[in-house]
Amino acid sequence: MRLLAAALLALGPAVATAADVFAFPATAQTFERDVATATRVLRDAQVLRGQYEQEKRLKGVPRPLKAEGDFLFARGRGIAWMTRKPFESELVITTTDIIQREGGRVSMRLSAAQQPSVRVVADVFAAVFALDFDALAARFKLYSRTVPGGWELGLRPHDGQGGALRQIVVSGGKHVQRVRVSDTNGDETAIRLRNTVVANKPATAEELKRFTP
Amino acid sequence: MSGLGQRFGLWLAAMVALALVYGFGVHGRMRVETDLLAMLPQVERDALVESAVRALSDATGRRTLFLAGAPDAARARAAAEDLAARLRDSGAFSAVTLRIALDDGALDALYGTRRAALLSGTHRAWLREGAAARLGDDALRALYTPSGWLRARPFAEDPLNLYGDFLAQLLPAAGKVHLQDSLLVAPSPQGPYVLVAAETAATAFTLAGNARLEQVIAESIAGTEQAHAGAEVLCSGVVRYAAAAAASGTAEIATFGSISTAAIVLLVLLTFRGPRPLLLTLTSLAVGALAALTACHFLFDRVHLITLVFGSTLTGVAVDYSIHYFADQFRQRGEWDPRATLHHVGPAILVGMLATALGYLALVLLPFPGLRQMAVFSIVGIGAACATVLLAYPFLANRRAAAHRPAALALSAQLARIGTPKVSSGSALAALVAALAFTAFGLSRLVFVDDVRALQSTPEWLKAEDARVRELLGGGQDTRFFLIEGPDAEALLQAEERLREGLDALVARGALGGYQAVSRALPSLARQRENHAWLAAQVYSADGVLARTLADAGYAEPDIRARLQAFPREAPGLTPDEWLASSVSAPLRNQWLAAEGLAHGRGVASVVSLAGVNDLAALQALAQQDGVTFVDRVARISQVMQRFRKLAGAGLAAAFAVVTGALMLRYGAAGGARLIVAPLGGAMLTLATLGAAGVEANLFNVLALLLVLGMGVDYAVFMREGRGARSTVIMAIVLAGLMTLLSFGLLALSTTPFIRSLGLTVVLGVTFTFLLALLASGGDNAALARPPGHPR
Repeated sequence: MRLLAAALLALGPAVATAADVFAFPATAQTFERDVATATRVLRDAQVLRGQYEQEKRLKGVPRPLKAEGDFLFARGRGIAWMTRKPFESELVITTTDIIQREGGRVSMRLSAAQQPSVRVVADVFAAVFALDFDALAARFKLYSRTVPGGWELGLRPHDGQGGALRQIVVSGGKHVQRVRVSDTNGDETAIRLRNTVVANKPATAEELKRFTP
Repeated sequence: MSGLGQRFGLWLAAMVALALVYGFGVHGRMRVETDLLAMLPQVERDALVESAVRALSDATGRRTLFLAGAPDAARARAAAEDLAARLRDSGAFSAVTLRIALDDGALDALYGTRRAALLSGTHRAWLREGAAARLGDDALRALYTPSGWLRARPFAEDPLNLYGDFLAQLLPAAGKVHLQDSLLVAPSPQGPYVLVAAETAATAFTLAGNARLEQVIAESIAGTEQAHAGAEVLCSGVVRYAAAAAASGTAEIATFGSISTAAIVLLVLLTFRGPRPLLLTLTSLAVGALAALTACHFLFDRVHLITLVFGSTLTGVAVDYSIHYFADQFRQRGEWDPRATLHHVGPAILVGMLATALGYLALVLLPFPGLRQMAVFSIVGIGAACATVLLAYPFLANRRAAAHRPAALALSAQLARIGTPKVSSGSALAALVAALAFTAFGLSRLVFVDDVRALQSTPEWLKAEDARVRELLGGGQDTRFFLIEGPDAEALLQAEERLREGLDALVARGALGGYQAVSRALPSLARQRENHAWLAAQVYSADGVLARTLADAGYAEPDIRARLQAFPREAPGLTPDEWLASSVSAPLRNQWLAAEGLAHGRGVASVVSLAGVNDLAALQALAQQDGVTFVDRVARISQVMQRFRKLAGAGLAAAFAVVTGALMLRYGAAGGARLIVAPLGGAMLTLATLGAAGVEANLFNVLALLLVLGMGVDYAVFMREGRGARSTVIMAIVLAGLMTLLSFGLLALSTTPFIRSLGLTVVLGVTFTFLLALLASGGDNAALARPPGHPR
């Protein structure tokens, strides 16, 4: 009996981890198979538009910090992330720059040449939205599985390269619906994307204007 | 005759000693310098500036950059890894860097513990203006928007990103290169390129070492490109320039040397017939070359490649003495006694050698390392060759009758007639006027260009590849920089910080791409104290921006109080010694010149390096501040070239004056004036020809004229002294002149521009001088009719 108990104890963590996506290392094949429902939709997508809600939990702070707004993903251009609440602020992430606007005025502009972190953020955002296996695999160890109604992806930084980032879990159906970011110090950020509309036509001129400072 | 034997014995003993010294001390040990700039005189008036330049160029000289590119990131990475492995396995490099590990541990050990006194430039500006609230605004945006992901440290550790922003500004301005998965990647339309940096332990000194390094580089590149389809590897580094210079230099030495030697063999066989004159001539040349190499090896730390190229044509000058010696056999019919010849031509040979050596000696006196080496090589070489002729020939040459009249003698007889004036004085006057008009026209068109380009010669493919690498990397470090000095480290850092205010303004308006300065990573103690005071008053006070931000984020009151109380009351000073001891300082250490400054009794010094200079005048204006020098090495080199050119011009004029005076003392005012006509006219016509042909002149053309003066006086004196056997003398001069023309003509084909300048000028100068000497001495033919003993 004691032997059995010991065996169960030893198995315990394995059983527990089997419950999350990080038990399923992904290859290019399994990745494509698992997220096929989304990549089929995203393959021809030029523009994704939708709303988001963000909830950040800082370790040692009881009250979560909530934000919401809308987003625009334009293939080849980048992502415009418009925060509406608790204050208005727009962050535009292109492949080479990050531009921040307050009330329509550029309040900060960082280029990838000045700041390596700009490129990391730009790459990861674009890769997550497009579910680009190669781009993700360049920065992360990948895990994937199907779950009822959709799929789940696990992203862990390659050894010693994540800085404060511990892991990211992305889940969805026809497109990305949830992103959960966990930092090594215990901070958690959960982002929910809602009412995502996929368009196969390029972004409008008005929308593209947002990607230039 | 025992005197001859003794002299020969002396020569033989010297030869044995020379052979032993060369065999054991020089052969295979000679260190060869291939850096053209090493030939230049000390460019900077200031020894400290000079050693700063040296420290920086040593660092860049050891580094070779590779870019491994492929259509996609994965293949580029694989190619770069393969390339790095090949370079490491070769053992030719002391370090090969592919992955850049940002050592957070070392950063935190140095800066993390002292963050209460550190601020980025941006945050300092905010606090100076009392705009601390902006820190709070930024912090809230980081909590509610994705801008938080840009921060180096999590919110809990660094809520206002004060430490994170300080760390971020430490990253060098990287141009187009960015860090991706610990690799440095340069994007391009053809796909990404991954950077691999390789460093050699020391600058390569031997020709073999250079060649091996270039071979390793070429093999590693070829192997990588073969193993990875679609991959391209580019390479840039000083080492490649050295290898290219070595390769072209070695090729020139081989070509020039063998053409000169072949010409000498042909000439000696045709003119003097028989194996003995040939063997003796070659012996004298070999002795000259060995002695010259040995002397340079022991006199100079490194022998410059250019010296060897120049020296490979020395045979053309050194063979003169053999020619004069053997030509004596045609002076009269009947048996030739080589011992007696010594009395006939010995003094003339000795005087000729000394005159030429004096010409070279002028170059030794200039503080110009490259020219000094060439001059020493030449003086020792011709001296040894001359000694062989004078000491060994009388003993070894065979006694025999000149059985033939060489073709050269017949030719010379024709030439000898040129000088005899048959032309009317009217047409002579016309020719003189034409020559003067041409000289005036040419001299008026003469342009001097004192550009450093006169020194450089780089193969086009290498330049193109270098340009490619620079373009992909988005520019590189500029050759210009600021040198900062101070009595101690603290004063130095404060001076640097004052300068940086000006530099930051230039960067902001695009006049400057960026700069690297020690004080950015190591603020002065005064600045650290100021930072600490501002942080205490505006950030960590009870009603400061930190407390407000933490409260906004929802932190509990005791948590906030604990954080405020943890702020140290005293600034935790970061000292230069602590900074230097940390691995964090490695990228900037070669800009910190404490030791160099102290070595010159000047306190401490540092370098602020620049990138993307767009407004030179604005930068120079910043050097008005005390203890700050703007160093523009390329401009300084050109200035120095100009200074030396003017100096050499004055020296040339002085040399003409001295020689004229000496000639007048010996031959009388009219005779001396007549003798100087040839060298002086030759020099003028040479410069005029360069001007008329639109060839830009420089320092080296002027220096070449010094050599022409030495040889020209020689011709004139030989013709004057040898009036008794005019055709024989002319033959010897013609043959000697031909060899000089050949050897310097070869130099005119060199790939090195300034060697070309030397060669071209000497060829023109010797030709003009010879023809003028022939014309000017013609009038003397009348003297042949005079009885012997007629006063000269």
